[in-house]
Amino acid sequence: MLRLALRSVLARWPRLVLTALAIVASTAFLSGTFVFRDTIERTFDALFADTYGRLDAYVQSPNTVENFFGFEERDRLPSSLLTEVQAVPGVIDAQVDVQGDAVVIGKDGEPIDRPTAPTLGASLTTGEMSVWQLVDGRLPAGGEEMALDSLTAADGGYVLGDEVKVNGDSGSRTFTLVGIVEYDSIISPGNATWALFDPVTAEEYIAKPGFVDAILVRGDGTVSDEVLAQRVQAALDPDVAEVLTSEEITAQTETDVEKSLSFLTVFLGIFSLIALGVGMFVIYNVFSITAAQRQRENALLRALGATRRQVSRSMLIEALVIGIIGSSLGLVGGVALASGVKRLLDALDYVIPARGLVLTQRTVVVTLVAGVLASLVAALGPAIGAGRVPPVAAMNDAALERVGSVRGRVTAATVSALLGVGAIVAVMAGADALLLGLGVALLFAAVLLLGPVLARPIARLLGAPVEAVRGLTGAMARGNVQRNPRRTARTAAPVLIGVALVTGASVFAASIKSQIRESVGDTFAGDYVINSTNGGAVSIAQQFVDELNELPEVGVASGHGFARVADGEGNAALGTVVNPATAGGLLNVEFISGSLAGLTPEGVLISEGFSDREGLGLGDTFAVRLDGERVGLVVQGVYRAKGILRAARIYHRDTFAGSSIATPAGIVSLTRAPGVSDGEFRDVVGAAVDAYGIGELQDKDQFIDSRADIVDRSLAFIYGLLFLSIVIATFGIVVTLLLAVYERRRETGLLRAVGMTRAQVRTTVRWESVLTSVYGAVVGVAMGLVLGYVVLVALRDEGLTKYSVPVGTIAWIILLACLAGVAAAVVPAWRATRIDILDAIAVDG
Amino acid sequence: MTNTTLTTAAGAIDAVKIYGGGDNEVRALDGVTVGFEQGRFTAIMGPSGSGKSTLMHCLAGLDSLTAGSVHIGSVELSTLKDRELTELRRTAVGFIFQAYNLVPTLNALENITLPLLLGGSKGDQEWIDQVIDTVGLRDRLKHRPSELSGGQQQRVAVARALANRPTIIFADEPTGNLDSRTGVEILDFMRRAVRELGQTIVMVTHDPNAASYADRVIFLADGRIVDEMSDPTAERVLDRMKRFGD
Repeated sequence: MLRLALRSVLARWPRLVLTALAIVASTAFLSGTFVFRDTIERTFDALFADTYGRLDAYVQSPNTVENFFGFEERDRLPSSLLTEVQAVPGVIDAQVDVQGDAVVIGKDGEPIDRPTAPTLGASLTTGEMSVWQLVDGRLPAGGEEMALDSLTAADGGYVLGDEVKVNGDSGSRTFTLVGIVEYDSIISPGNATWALFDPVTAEEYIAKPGFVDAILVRGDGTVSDEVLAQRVQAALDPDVAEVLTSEEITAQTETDVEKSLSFLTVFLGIFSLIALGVGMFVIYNVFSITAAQRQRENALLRALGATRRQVSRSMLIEALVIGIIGSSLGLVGGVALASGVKRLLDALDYVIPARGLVLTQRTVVVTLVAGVLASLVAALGPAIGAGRVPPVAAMNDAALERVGSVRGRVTAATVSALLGVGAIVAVMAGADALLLGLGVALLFAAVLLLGPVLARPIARLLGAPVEAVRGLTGAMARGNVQRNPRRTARTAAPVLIGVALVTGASVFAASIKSQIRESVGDTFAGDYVINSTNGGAVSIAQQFVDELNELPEVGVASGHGFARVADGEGNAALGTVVNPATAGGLLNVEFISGSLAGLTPEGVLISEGFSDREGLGLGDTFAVRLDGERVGLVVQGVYRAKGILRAARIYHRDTFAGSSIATPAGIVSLTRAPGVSDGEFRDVVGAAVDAYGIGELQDKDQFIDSRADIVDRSLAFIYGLLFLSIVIATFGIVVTLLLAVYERRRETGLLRAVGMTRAQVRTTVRWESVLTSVYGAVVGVAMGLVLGYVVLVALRDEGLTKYSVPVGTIAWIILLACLAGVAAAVVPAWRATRIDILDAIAVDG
Repeated sequence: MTNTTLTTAAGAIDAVKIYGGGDNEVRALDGVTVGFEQGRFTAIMGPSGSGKSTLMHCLAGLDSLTAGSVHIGSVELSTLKDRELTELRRTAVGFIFQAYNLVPTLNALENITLPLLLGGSKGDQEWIDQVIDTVGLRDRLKHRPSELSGGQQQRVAVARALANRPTIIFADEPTGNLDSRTGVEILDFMRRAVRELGQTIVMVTHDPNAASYADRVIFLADGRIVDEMSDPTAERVLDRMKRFGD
């Protein structure tokens, strides 16, 4: 029986390969993600192992603040600890390590930055602990000198002796370039730009005076790393510093790398699974059609004594073969994809150190198992159905798919929809947001269940204009789409899912954008903004804001920043940091009590919600943790959080003056002095900003636009990934149409015999394809609108209240579905025109 | 190997088959009692709608009766579950269909041995060789159905029906799709299978010429057996058939 099934597979291999394409794309994506991730992980692990391998012990702050997505940011360390560490017996060398953000400004006045790579400023460690090798010049010494990595120097056109402008959180400064360095064979680790200084300068300029990131320790070789670390720890206050061995700090960093990569893997993995799910629908559809077409053959086998199980199994063997072919091709494709991405990054100067792609056993296993399982599960239903064919069907000519009970379908769909709506309403009423996923899944299930019922009337509606325009061929295409509504619904389902997701994402984006527009507009009272976005992670120094206030053209300038500060219990939360002296007229804050101007460095303003939650009122003390110490702040006001002042706390910038927390301004808002024209203002302030280095002067409208654009940029990636699903769905239409063309070869031959032209045959197939994909797109858009709404409702606690429908985007999606339909029809239409008329009419059964 | 042992290979008792319900009720079989002796070639004849195909389907276990019983050998079919019925079809029943009904992806030899392959048994190689030689397909065994002529395809179908030495073979209009010369060849071969190989064949046909190759003809009309004829000739069958027109 295995032989019989394999024979059947071999005889139909072109169809199988075509079907396998449905899972090639998704498994390629899956394995590509793994390969890419493993490659990066191994690269960075090797890098860090090398970096920290040069040390024997590592001193860092024991305190961390939780950052976005569960990442941790470690506090800085007092630099005064260095002398204590140096005095520990067995320590031969100890140096501070400073690493922060600094942007190198090119000779053209523009920051040198590379996409997705950090712009770093750091201390240049010397001796055997240094990862850097001097390739030209000498080591920088003193506050006037610096070194650059050779790639950044080349990008900026800088040579030794040049004056280089650098922007750090503490301000804009010019240094003399005295050295060019490289990191072993890798010119610039992580493709970052590196501005390097002597330790004292780095501490003062990059960190904050008195604070460093770590102390690097090397022993004299008389004791083990463990003993050395214990000795150093014994010399230090454990609340202020913790000491790790070289091995421990390597492991800690590798865990961090793994954590950040697992985020990437999960994110990309979700899209792989969506794509795989769409592919499963395609396989399910192909097998359903195949089972119908082969009904007679299967009935014959049953009549001759094949058991149900044997018939089902032979179809499952085909699914198995499809799964193996598909996921194997996917694996190869994934490696190719990863190597393509790597090459692309290389071309973009994102230098991943020269190490080969990593293909682990796990990647192979996961990809093959996912592909094969997906294929088998998708084919299970049709295979079982094939086994149920009555043997007597071998004697009859009928080869129709069973049309299940409409009533049962409607009932199931209604129940599913009601449960789904119920779950969503429950979430709206305050239930756990996890229920939302279930609700959405149930709604999708309802729509898919209802598909066969919806397909006929919707196809009739959509087909009417086609019929009006194309006449007979249009009418035939419309008829073909309506002929088997189950099949039409199944074919359109992958399109539906893909389109629903894309639409949902675009609704979400449009809503967030209009939310941003409104809230930014509401909150900012100034005429202009200096946006630091083109400086990457570096913000504008408060000192520069003070300088701006000196300019006669400027009315008031005020910098606003954000800081993640831990409360007394160590729970971090984002807070806004302002200069109350200037912020008053530039930020619209609705106060229930207190005012911006009344905020002192010993106080804090808290949001109404936070006040209610914590039971904190005016005059109460709210504790924060600064460098491991609890500092009590007096609540001096309560405000309504909204817009970009959504954070639950507003701090005075001077609160952090003596701490390791830097408070530069992410955004500077300004007003124009009376009597100064827009042109004059732009000339003078624009020049000041240019002289400073980073930052861009924008009026309020430009600022609002640039904020909204950030959403588009982050969504472009998601769109791209979701379109992958639509591509797979298009494959599904191709396979289905090929099967339909084959099935109707007799009919087509007859039509050709009575005078239908090849062009007419093509048109009929093309319109059938377009109608199917547009049907999927229209229902998908409807689903997407609901989906977007549901997601927004789930996030309403985050301050999202807008619901915008991006009409333009939706029009594009439907147009794209039309084009996908046309593209999908090319090969099947060609096949339809190749049907031999006499052969077709003479064909038996 | 003689046709004097009158054990029945298969039979029906008071077989009733009703399709549809209410006003649309069709009594395809209306109390048919019949037996088919071992080692004989029986033809079932009757006008369209007389129930001859239904009778055959029910006898072969492809379809179930509304009332009454059918048996193959000593096995009563109505008591069997699907699995047992399948097993029975595989081991005790052979089929020859009007449309050749070969599996297009298998070659001639694989199609012939299909019932054996399905059961996972090798079968009796000597017997299969004998069957293949009798149908004269030795040089065509590696060909796919699409590479065979209509007559050759039907000979493969006959060989397949014989391959597992079934208790009984059912043939449904086996010559319906063939030209008369090829048809005669197949009928001749079927008769040899009965005479020389001791097989039992029940054939549904509307062709008096085909019926004349049988040992016995049963006439069906409106779901009932109306007549029976031994050692028929084409003329006598034709005469009897003409009377249905009255």
